[in-house]
Amino acid sequence: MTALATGSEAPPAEAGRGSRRRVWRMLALLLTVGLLGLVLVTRLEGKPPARSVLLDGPAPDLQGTTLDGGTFDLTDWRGQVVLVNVWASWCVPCQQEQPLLVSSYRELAPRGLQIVGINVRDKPEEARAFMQEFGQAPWPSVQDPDGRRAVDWGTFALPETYLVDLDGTVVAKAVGELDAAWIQQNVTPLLAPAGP
Amino acid sequence: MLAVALVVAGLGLAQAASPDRPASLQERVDAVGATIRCPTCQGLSIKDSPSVLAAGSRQIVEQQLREGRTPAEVRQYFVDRYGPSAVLSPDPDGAGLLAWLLPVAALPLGGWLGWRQLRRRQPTGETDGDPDAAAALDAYRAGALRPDATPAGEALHEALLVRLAAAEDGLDAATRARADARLGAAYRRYARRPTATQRRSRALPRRAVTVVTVVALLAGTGAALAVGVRSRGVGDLPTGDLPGPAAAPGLLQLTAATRERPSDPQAWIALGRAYDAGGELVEALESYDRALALRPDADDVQLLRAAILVRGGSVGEALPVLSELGVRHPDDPDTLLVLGNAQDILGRPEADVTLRRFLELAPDAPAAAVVRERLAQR
Repeated sequence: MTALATGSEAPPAEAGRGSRRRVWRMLALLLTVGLLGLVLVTRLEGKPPARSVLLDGPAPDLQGTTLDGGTFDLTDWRGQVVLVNVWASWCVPCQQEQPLLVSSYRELAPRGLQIVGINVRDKPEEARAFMQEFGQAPWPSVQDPDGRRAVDWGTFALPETYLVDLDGTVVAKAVGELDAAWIQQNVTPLLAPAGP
Repeated sequence: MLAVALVVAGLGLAQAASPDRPASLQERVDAVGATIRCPTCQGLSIKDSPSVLAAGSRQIVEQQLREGRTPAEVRQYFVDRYGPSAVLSPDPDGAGLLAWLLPVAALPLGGWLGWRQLRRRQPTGETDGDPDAAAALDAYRAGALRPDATPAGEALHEALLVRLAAAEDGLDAATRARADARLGAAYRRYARRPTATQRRSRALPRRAVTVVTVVALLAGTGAALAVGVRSRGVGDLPTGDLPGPAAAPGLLQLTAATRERPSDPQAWIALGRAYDAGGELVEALESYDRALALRPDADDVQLLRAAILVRGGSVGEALPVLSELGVRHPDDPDTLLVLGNAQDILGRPEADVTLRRFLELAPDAPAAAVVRERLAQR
């Protein structure tokens, strides 16, 4: 067995080769990890921007047939504060926010608030039933069977609500269901002061 | 095996290249749609996403392309509303390109690493401590020592690799001495292990298993990535996806039929009905328009088309057509139903008359019950 031993103490050259191999291995590992990291980064980017690009710009058009058969045009409401609420009967968080919207409306409509809904890809009967069940909202909702109006307003998901000022500028956007605090902070300051 | 895996990955990426015939509207919509991010879901394009807003976005893309806008203009529309992140196509000079290159690069990289593992057997150095360690090393290099799959065997194998690595890497003598001691101990334990003749190695040599596994995993990953990447927009996650509505086999056959017989109005009508049933209103409209272009006097298609307009909310646009149809076919229940419905939505007083006439003519129609209830509610 000793005859098979392949030699004596490793010469310095071999030791050098060994550490060079380690360096290559490390480089290969770093390269792979680096590539993987870059791939992850490029995939992770593209989350919805924190701030809607519509803010501080003019409100998009909103026209169409409403759920109760009438027609609606947002430009008719120029000069008023308008909440544009994007919703659907199949959207669960919309159920949560509807009662809040209704009560806010009752409180703030006398101070000049208007609300219009965009009803996305919904059956009119189901949308009407939803409105009946969740507070009987008295404001109109424009039908959006294709979802085009929602996309026109840069909607990411339902529900979202846009606040349009007197001059037709989009001044705020709520992503997800509304809460009273958002209405307090954003909507109320724009309205006429409460009555005596 | 590596070569096969490389070829598979390469073919998959190559198939992602553009087709070789002029693109139809649907194909152009798909092409543009694949570059626009679905608003609701991260990482999916509007072409691949099943979400509601993606469907709406696709219809916008189709309408704008039909109006003659360029893909760049269509993308700009989405950027104006969703920000620059709305667009999926990677910057060719940027990190996105690596997303393409990584699957191809990873295979040879991984294969090389695996091969290096194999080559670790190169013998260097000498044992100058434990005689058992020396014996083990010699026997191993000669091929006379092949540790089996017992716990003692595995420990011995580990110790051998460690000892060989210590020599190969040119580490200091102290580390080599430790490796020696470990190898010696492992060898002694191995010699003491209970040898059962039943445990004759049925198992593959360990190194072969490792290499086969590594190569198989890499080949599988490469193939999966190639398949996944081929049908996704760049930058998308190659994960599973829900089938969109157009994946229904009926629609595929009907679409094929219209391709085979583009001047057959029946083919277009059938396709339109299928889209209609699936709620794809814009596609249905397009199909009906094609049928009407071939046969302008097809009142049944006019009625179907008007019904879609009503469902889509464009009642005002549909009413004149419906009124005319109502004049030409005063006794057709279907016409009366859609006409009456439209008049009802618009609040016209003649809706009652129309709907009652419908009920007279088709008292047992499925819609009759609904109509009766609506009239009763007034």
